[in-house]
Amino acid sequence: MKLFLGPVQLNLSFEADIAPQLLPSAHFTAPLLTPVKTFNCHYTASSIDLPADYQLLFEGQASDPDQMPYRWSVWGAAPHLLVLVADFHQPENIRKITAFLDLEKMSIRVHFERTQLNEVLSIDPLLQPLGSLLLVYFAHLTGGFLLHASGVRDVDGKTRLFTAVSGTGKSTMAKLWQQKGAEIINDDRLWLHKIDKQWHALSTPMVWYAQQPMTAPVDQIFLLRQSPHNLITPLQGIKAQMRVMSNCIQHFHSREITTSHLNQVLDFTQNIPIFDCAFKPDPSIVEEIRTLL
Amino acid sequence: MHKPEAIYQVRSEKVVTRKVGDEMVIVPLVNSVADMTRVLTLNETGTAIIEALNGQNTINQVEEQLLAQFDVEQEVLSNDLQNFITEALDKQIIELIP
Repeated sequence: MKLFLGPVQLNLSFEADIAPQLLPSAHFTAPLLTPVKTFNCHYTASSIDLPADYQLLFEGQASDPDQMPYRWSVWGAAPHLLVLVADFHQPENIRKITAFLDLEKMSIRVHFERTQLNEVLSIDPLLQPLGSLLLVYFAHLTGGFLLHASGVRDVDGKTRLFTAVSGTGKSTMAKLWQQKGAEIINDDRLWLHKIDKQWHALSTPMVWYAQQPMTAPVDQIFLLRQSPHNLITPLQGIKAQMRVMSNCIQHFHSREITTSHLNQVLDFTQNIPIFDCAFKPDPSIVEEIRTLL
Repeated sequence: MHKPEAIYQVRSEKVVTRKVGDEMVIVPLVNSVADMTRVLTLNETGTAIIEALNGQNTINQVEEQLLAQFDVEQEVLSNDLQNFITEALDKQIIELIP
């Protein structure tokens, strides 16, 4: 089985005890871009202990345990050797995911710890949080990064991104544009990738619905704030660039990766006009933004 | 008060820095893991100060260099420099050369 995430191709293989079921990634089976990196991913339903030479690098816990019933952590034995671990609080078919990544050999080995040992495990190979954690490394390895943002392509082809922390109106803004005829690239998370010297926004597989693969060159980026009045202010300088960076999905474990990430985000934010955008959630903001030069 | 003859330098193993025009971004590293919650930005003056703290200049020399570079009164600059060093030490961006 093959999956295509942005410029990355995944060649997936499975042990006989796994029956892959594509859910979020169901539409990512054909390349949208020419793949520049290929990972070989092998899946098995046998559990495994974390080798002693791996050190904890990061860990995270969902703010909403009902929607995201897991804890995740990233462990490293060398800059190119990582393990992603997810422990589920209320296990349905799996208790734990342990995924070994070799960023040099471009290989991934995923172990699922099943709750029902004798049944074939029917599972999405990019289920949460494995899919989201892997995307961070795929984007980095191909010179891009992930941003918490919604993105819309307007009827005239102009593509705008709306970035903010959760609950500030990314998906509300996307819906307002959709009502005015624009197409939503994604309403929560975008992969920024440079193609022919131009930054593009790519959709990625989402958790709750089958996202279509899409890409569009980015024209403008808006930092969202909720407000009783609309107010759009063009921004310049490093502080504005860092406000965009603070909405990136970024957990990096080495100087090399951090430097590369910083360079990519600075290049993106130097080349795309940034606006502070205080808005009230009604269609007037769409018209105000359309009148910006 | 940091001594006039003291020499400071950026703790290059603890930070990733990147200059953009006259401004600078500093990303702290904790055991080489990036701490993206403590990213710092420096304006033109801050950038000039951090670049002058190069492990060779004494504070006196840094002050002379900045006085030549910026239109500022010595007393104001001296104060700003002292505060900058205090804050940069506190944030573990620079260190005193023994």
